[in-house]
Amino acid sequence: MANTAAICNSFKTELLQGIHAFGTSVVRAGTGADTFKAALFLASATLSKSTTAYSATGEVSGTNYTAGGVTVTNANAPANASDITYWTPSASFAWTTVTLGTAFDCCLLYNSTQSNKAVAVFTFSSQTVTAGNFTLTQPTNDQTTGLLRLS
Amino acid sequence: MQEPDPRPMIWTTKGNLPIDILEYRTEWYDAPDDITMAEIYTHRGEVVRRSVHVFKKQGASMGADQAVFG
Repeated sequence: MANTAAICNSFKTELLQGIHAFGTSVVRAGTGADTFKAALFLASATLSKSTTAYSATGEVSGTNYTAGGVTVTNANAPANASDITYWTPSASFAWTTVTLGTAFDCCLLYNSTQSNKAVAVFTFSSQTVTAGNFTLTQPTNDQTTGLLRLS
Repeated sequence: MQEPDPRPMIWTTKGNLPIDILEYRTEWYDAPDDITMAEIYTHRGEVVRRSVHVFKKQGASMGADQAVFG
């Protein structure tokens, strides 16, 4: 039997559960999951890996679109398979009967419980919507395609 | 009192219009990271409703690197 150097799979999962704090952390109100939100941004915006928190700068605007976006449905607990921890929202992000006339191509996932801190920036083909619906359907929640994957 | 139009209606830039007076088409785009389907309704050549559905093929991944002693 030999030892094998590794970052533990359990640790990767626990990172997404907010278990570990190597630096100064926050006082949590409870043990429940945080509330995450998704907002849409114009193709002309400049969100990137350097984005630290949600801001309305560059966000889309239009009929029936509420600044800050929509609340993410989260019925999926972080899981690990094949040494990869993954998590995906359990429902599509959906905006109904909106008019978004200026091209947009970006969605920011952020934590509204923790001061709107940014989680990830996702891009897609540039779009406009006219008196219709916009749906961002999530990938399959597994280690290969999950929305957030930690390997 | 005017009788309500019995035909199926759909919301557009011109309010509720009967679906059967609109032209409907779909457009599909298959990009490396997503598949997009747009549903477009036009009335006399004017786009009066455009819905878009994007399917993300995969999300974002991040790697964890570990230092080696010795």
